[in-house]
Amino acid sequence: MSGARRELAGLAALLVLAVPRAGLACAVCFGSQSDLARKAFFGTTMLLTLLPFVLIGGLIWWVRRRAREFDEQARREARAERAPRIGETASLP
Amino acid sequence: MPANSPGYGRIRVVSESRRRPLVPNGVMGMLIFVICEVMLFAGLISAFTILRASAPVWPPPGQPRLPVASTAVNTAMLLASGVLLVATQRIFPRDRARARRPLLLSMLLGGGFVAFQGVEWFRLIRQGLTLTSSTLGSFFYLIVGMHALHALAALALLVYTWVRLQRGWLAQSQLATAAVFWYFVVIVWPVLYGVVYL
Repeated sequence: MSGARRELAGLAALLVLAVPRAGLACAVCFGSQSDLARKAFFGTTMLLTLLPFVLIGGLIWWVRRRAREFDEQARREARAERAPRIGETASLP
Repeated sequence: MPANSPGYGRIRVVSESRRRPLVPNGVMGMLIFVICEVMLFAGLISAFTILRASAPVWPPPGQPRLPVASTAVNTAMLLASGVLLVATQRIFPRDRARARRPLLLSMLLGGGFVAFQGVEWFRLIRQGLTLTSSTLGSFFYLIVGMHALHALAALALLVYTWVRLQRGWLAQSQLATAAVFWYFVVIVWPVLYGVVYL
Protein backbone atom coordinates (compact mmCIF):
# COMPACT_ATOMS: atom_id res chain seq x y z
CA MET A 1 0.00 0.00 0.00
CA SER A 2 1.42 3.39 -0.96
CA GLY A 3 1.87 6.20 1.59
CA ALA A 4 -1.03 8.28 0.21
CA ARG A 5 -3.40 5.33 0.29
CA ARG A 6 -2.38 4.48 3.84
CA GLU A 7 -3.06 8.06 4.94
CA LEU A 8 -6.44 7.98 3.22
CA ALA A 9 -7.38 4.72 4.95
CA GLY A 10 -6.32 6.16 8.32
CA LEU A 11 -8.40 9.28 7.70
CA ALA A 12 -11.43 7.14 6.82
CA ALA A 13 -10.99 5.18 10.05
CA LEU A 14 -10.81 8.45 12.02
CA LEU A 15 -13.99 9.68 10.36
CA VAL A 16 -15.81 6.50 11.38
CA LEU A 17 -14.67 7.03 14.95
CA ALA A 18 -15.83 10.63 14.84
CA VAL A 19 -19.37 9.74 13.76
CA PRO A 20 -20.27 6.53 15.62
CA ARG A 21 -24.02 7.05 15.20
CA ALA A 22 -23.73 6.45 11.47
CA GLY A 23 -22.27 3.04 12.20
CA LEU A 24 -25.34 1.67 14.02
CA ALA A 25 -26.25 -1.56 12.34
CA CYS A 26 -29.89 -1.75 13.32
CA ALA A 27 -32.11 1.32 13.50
CA VAL A 28 -34.87 -0.71 15.18
CA CYS A 29 -32.67 -1.42 18.21
CA PHE A 30 -32.78 2.27 19.13
CA GLY A 31 -36.31 2.94 17.98
CA SER A 32 -37.71 2.46 21.44
CA GLN A 33 -36.01 3.64 24.58
CA SER A 34 -38.61 2.24 26.97
CA ASP A 35 -37.50 0.17 29.91
CA LEU A 36 -39.63 -2.77 28.81
CA ALA A 37 -37.99 -2.82 25.38
CA ARG A 38 -34.51 -2.68 26.90
CA LYS A 39 -35.38 -5.61 29.16
CA ALA A 40 -36.75 -7.52 26.17
CA PHE A 41 -33.52 -6.94 24.24
CA PHE A 42 -31.44 -8.08 27.18
CA GLY A 43 -33.59 -11.14 27.87
CA THR A 44 -33.73 -12.34 24.28
CA THR A 45 -30.00 -11.72 23.79
CA MET A 46 -29.30 -13.87 26.81
CA LEU A 47 -31.73 -16.52 25.59
CA LEU A 48 -30.18 -16.77 22.14
CA THR A 49 -26.63 -16.70 23.54
CA LEU A 50 -27.04 -19.29 26.27
CA LEU A 51 -29.54 -21.67 24.67
CA PRO A 52 -27.03 -23.39 22.33
CA PHE A 53 -24.71 -24.04 25.27
CA VAL A 54 -27.57 -25.48 27.32
CA LEU A 55 -28.80 -27.68 24.47
CA ILE A 56 -25.44 -29.04 23.38
CA GLY A 57 -24.22 -29.31 26.98
CA GLY A 58 -27.40 -31.17 27.87
CA LEU A 59 -26.92 -33.59 24.99
CA ILE A 60 -23.29 -34.28 26.00
CA TRP A 61 -24.32 -34.76 29.66
CA TRP A 62 -27.06 -37.22 28.65
CA VAL A 63 -24.75 -39.24 26.36
CA ARG A 64 -22.08 -39.43 29.08
CA ARG A 65 -24.64 -40.57 31.65
CA ARG A 66 -25.83 -43.24 29.22
CA ALA A 67 -22.25 -44.36 28.64
CA ARG A 68 -21.74 -44.76 32.38
CA GLU A 69 -24.97 -46.78 32.63
CA PHE A 70 -23.82 -49.02 29.77
CA ASP A 71 -20.45 -49.62 31.42
CA GLU A 72 -22.13 -50.49 34.69
CA GLN A 73 -24.52 -52.87 32.97
CA ALA A 74 -21.68 -54.55 31.03
CA ARG A 75 -19.74 -55.02 34.27
CA ARG A 76 -22.77 -56.59 35.95
CA GLU A 77 -23.37 -58.96 33.01
CA ALA A 78 -19.70 -59.95 32.88
CA ARG A 79 -19.71 -60.73 36.58
CA ALA A 80 -22.89 -62.78 36.18
CA GLU A 81 -21.80 -65.08 33.39
CA ARG A 82 -17.97 -64.87 33.51
CA ALA A 83 -17.43 -63.83 29.89
CA PRO A 84 -14.09 -64.70 28.23
CA ARG A 85 -11.54 -61.91 28.47
CA ILE A 86 -10.14 -59.97 25.52
CA GLY A 87 -7.38 -61.99 23.89
CA GLU A 88 -8.63 -65.32 25.21
CA THR A 89 -9.58 -68.07 22.78
CA ALA A 90 -12.71 -70.14 22.87
CA SER A 91 -13.55 -73.28 20.95
CA LEU A 92 -16.40 -73.26 18.47
CA PRO A 93 -19.14 -75.81 19.20
CA MET B 1 -10.79 -69.06 6.31
CA PRO B 2 -8.98 -72.11 4.87
CA ALA B 3 -9.45 -75.33 6.81
CA ASN B 4 -5.73 -75.82 7.43
CA SER B 5 -5.12 -72.35 8.85
CA PRO B 6 -4.06 -72.16 12.54
CA GLY B 7 -7.19 -70.33 13.73
CA TYR B 8 -9.70 -72.64 12.08
CA GLY B 9 -12.33 -74.00 14.46
CA ARG B 10 -11.57 -71.39 17.12
CA ILE B 11 -12.76 -67.84 17.59
CA ARG B 12 -10.74 -65.09 19.16
CA VAL B 13 -12.61 -62.78 21.51
CA VAL B 14 -11.45 -59.32 20.49
CA SER B 15 -13.94 -57.16 22.33
CA GLU B 16 -16.97 -57.28 24.59
CA SER B 17 -19.44 -59.93 23.59
CA ARG B 18 -22.43 -57.59 23.45
CA ARG B 19 -22.13 -54.37 21.45
CA ARG B 20 -25.12 -52.07 21.42
CA PRO B 21 -25.02 -48.50 20.16
CA LEU B 22 -24.83 -45.97 22.98
CA VAL B 23 -27.56 -43.90 21.36
CA PRO B 24 -29.42 -45.31 18.34
CA ASN B 25 -28.56 -43.43 15.13
CA GLY B 26 -32.16 -42.38 14.54
CA VAL B 27 -32.50 -40.94 18.03
CA MET B 28 -29.20 -39.05 17.77
CA GLY B 29 -30.16 -37.64 14.36
CA MET B 30 -33.55 -36.58 15.66
CA LEU B 31 -31.99 -34.95 18.73
CA ILE B 32 -29.65 -32.89 16.54
CA PHE B 33 -32.60 -31.89 14.35
CA VAL B 34 -34.64 -30.93 17.42
CA ILE B 35 -31.77 -28.77 18.73
CA CYS B 36 -31.79 -26.87 15.41
CA GLU B 37 -35.56 -26.45 15.60
CA VAL B 38 -35.37 -25.19 19.18
CA MET B 39 -33.06 -22.44 17.94
CA LEU B 40 -35.53 -21.61 15.15
CA PHE B 41 -38.35 -21.17 17.67
CA ALA B 42 -36.07 -19.25 20.04
CA GLY B 43 -35.37 -16.80 17.22
CA LEU B 44 -39.08 -16.38 16.47
CA ILE B 45 -39.92 -15.94 20.16
CA SER B 46 -37.15 -13.34 20.52
CA ALA B 47 -38.38 -11.33 17.54
CA PHE B 48 -41.96 -11.44 18.82
CA THR B 49 -40.96 -10.46 22.37
CA ILE B 50 -38.98 -7.44 21.16
CA LEU B 51 -41.77 -6.33 18.85
CA ARG B 52 -44.34 -6.66 21.62
CA ALA B 53 -42.20 -4.78 24.14
CA SER B 54 -41.47 -1.98 21.67
CA ALA B 55 -45.11 -1.47 20.62
CA PRO B 56 -46.80 1.54 22.24
CA VAL B 57 -50.11 -0.40 22.48
CA TRP B 58 -50.41 -4.19 22.65
CA PRO B 59 -52.36 -5.97 21.26
CA PRO B 60 -52.82 -3.67 18.26
CA PRO B 61 -56.18 -1.87 18.35
CA GLY B 62 -58.96 -3.14 16.10
CA GLN B 63 -57.70 -6.70 16.10
CA PRO B 64 -59.60 -9.71 17.52
CA ARG B 65 -58.43 -11.20 20.80
CA LEU B 66 -56.73 -14.58 20.70
CA PRO B 67 -58.77 -17.49 22.14
CA VAL B 68 -56.89 -17.94 25.42
CA ALA B 69 -59.29 -20.27 27.27
CA SER B 70 -60.13 -22.70 24.45
CA THR B 71 -56.45 -22.93 23.49
CA ALA B 72 -55.62 -23.77 27.12
CA VAL B 73 -57.92 -26.80 26.81
CA ASN B 74 -56.21 -27.68 23.54
CA THR B 75 -52.82 -27.36 25.27
CA ALA B 76 -53.97 -29.83 27.92
CA MET B 77 -54.97 -32.21 25.12
CA LEU B 78 -51.49 -32.01 23.60
CA LEU B 79 -49.84 -32.57 26.98
CA ALA B 80 -52.04 -35.62 27.55
CA SER B 81 -50.91 -36.91 24.17
CA GLY B 82 -47.28 -36.59 25.32
CA VAL B 83 -48.02 -38.46 28.56
CA LEU B 84 -49.64 -41.30 26.58
CA LEU B 85 -46.55 -41.56 24.41
CA VAL B 86 -44.41 -41.89 27.55
CA ALA B 87 -46.73 -44.72 28.62
CA THR B 88 -46.33 -46.34 25.19
CA GLN B 89 -42.55 -46.28 25.53
CA ARG B 90 -42.77 -47.85 29.00
CA ILE B 91 -45.14 -50.62 27.91
CA PHE B 92 -43.51 -51.41 24.54
CA PRO B 93 -40.45 -53.44 25.72
CA ARG B 94 -42.66 -55.67 27.91
CA ASP B 95 -45.79 -56.08 25.81
CA ARG B 96 -45.95 -54.80 22.24
CA ALA B 97 -49.61 -55.61 21.77
CA ARG B 98 -50.60 -53.54 24.80
CA ALA B 99 -48.55 -50.58 23.53
CA ARG B 100 -50.93 -50.11 20.59
CA ARG B 101 -53.74 -48.50 22.52
CA PRO B 102 -51.81 -45.66 24.22
CA LEU B 103 -50.00 -44.93 20.94
CA LEU B 104 -53.29 -44.74 19.06
CA LEU B 105 -54.81 -42.47 21.74
CA SER B 106 -51.71 -40.28 21.66
CA MET B 107 -52.05 -39.91 17.90
CA LEU B 108 -55.76 -39.13 18.13
CA LEU B 109 -55.18 -36.44 20.75
CA GLY B 110 -52.38 -34.98 18.62
CA GLY B 111 -54.64 -35.01 15.57
CA GLY B 112 -57.37 -33.36 17.64
CA PHE B 113 -54.94 -30.62 18.65
CA VAL B 114 -54.00 -29.86 15.04
CA ALA B 115 -57.65 -29.96 13.91
CA PHE B 116 -58.73 -27.62 16.71
CA GLN B 117 -55.92 -25.19 15.82
CA GLY B 118 -57.16 -25.21 12.22
CA VAL B 119 -60.71 -24.40 13.32
CA GLU B 120 -59.41 -21.54 15.49
CA TRP B 121 -57.43 -20.16 12.56
CA PHE B 122 -60.50 -20.06 10.34
CA ARG B 123 -62.43 -18.29 13.09
CA LEU B 124 -59.67 -15.70 13.55
CA ILE B 125 -59.33 -15.09 9.82
CA ARG B 126 -63.08 -14.52 9.58
CA GLN B 127 -62.83 -12.04 12.47
CA GLY B 128 -60.17 -10.07 10.58
CA LEU B 129 -56.84 -11.33 11.94
CA THR B 130 -54.76 -12.12 8.87
CA LEU B 131 -51.07 -12.26 7.97
CA THR B 132 -51.20 -8.65 6.74
CA SER B 133 -53.75 -7.12 9.12
CA SER B 134 -51.20 -6.31 11.86
CA THR B 135 -47.87 -7.31 13.34
CA LEU B 136 -49.81 -9.52 15.78
CA GLY B 137 -51.39 -11.38 12.86
CA SER B 138 -48.05 -11.75 11.06
CA PHE B 139 -46.28 -13.20 14.07
CA PHE B 140 -49.25 -15.26 15.23
CA TYR B 141 -49.57 -17.11 11.93
CA LEU B 142 -45.81 -17.40 11.52
CA ILE B 143 -45.08 -18.84 14.97
CA VAL B 144 -48.22 -20.92 15.46
CA GLY B 145 -48.12 -22.00 11.81
CA MET B 146 -44.53 -23.13 12.16
CA HIS B 147 -45.52 -25.19 15.19
CA ALA B 148 -48.50 -26.66 13.33
CA LEU B 149 -46.18 -27.67 10.50
CA HIS B 150 -43.94 -29.49 12.98
CA ALA B 151 -46.97 -31.08 14.66
CA LEU B 152 -48.19 -32.39 11.29
CA ALA B 153 -44.77 -33.83 10.44
CA ALA B 154 -44.44 -35.45 13.87
CA LEU B 155 -47.96 -36.81 13.59
CA ALA B 156 -47.12 -38.36 10.22
CA LEU B 157 -44.10 -40.00 11.86
CA LEU B 158 -46.31 -41.34 14.66
CA VAL B 159 -48.76 -42.76 12.13
CA TYR B 160 -45.85 -44.47 10.34
CA THR B 161 -44.68 -45.82 13.71
CA TRP B 162 -48.15 -47.14 14.49
CA VAL B 163 -48.39 -48.89 11.11
CA ARG B 164 -45.05 -50.60 11.79
CA LEU B 165 -46.24 -51.60 15.24
CA GLN B 166 -49.42 -53.07 13.76
CA ARG B 167 -47.36 -55.14 11.32
CA GLY B 168 -44.90 -56.22 14.00
CA TRP B 169 -41.92 -54.46 12.42
CA LEU B 170 -41.35 -51.74 14.97
CA ALA B 171 -38.02 -51.59 16.79
CA GLN B 172 -37.65 -49.80 20.11
CA SER B 173 -35.20 -47.31 18.62
CA GLN B 174 -37.72 -46.38 15.91
CA LEU B 175 -40.37 -45.70 18.52
CA ALA B 176 -37.86 -43.60 20.47
CA THR B 177 -36.96 -41.59 17.35
CA ALA B 178 -40.60 -40.70 16.66
CA ALA B 179 -41.17 -40.01 20.35
CA VAL B 180 -38.30 -37.49 20.51
CA PHE B 181 -39.93 -35.45 17.72
CA TRP B 182 -43.37 -35.60 19.32
CA TYR B 183 -41.99 -34.62 22.75
CA PHE B 184 -40.40 -31.59 21.13
CA VAL B 185 -43.78 -30.59 19.62
CA VAL B 186 -45.48 -31.13 23.00
CA ILE B 187 -42.90 -29.29 25.11
CA VAL B 188 -42.44 -26.27 22.85
CA TRP B 189 -46.19 -25.58 22.62
CA PRO B 190 -46.81 -24.38 26.24
CA VAL B 191 -43.87 -21.97 25.78
CA LEU B 192 -45.41 -20.61 22.58
CA TYR B 193 -48.82 -20.41 24.24
CA GLY B 194 -47.36 -18.41 27.11
CA VAL B 195 -45.49 -16.02 24.82
CA VAL B 196 -48.08 -15.50 22.07
CA TYR B 197 -51.48 -15.96 23.74
CA LEU B 198 -50.94 -14.59 27.27
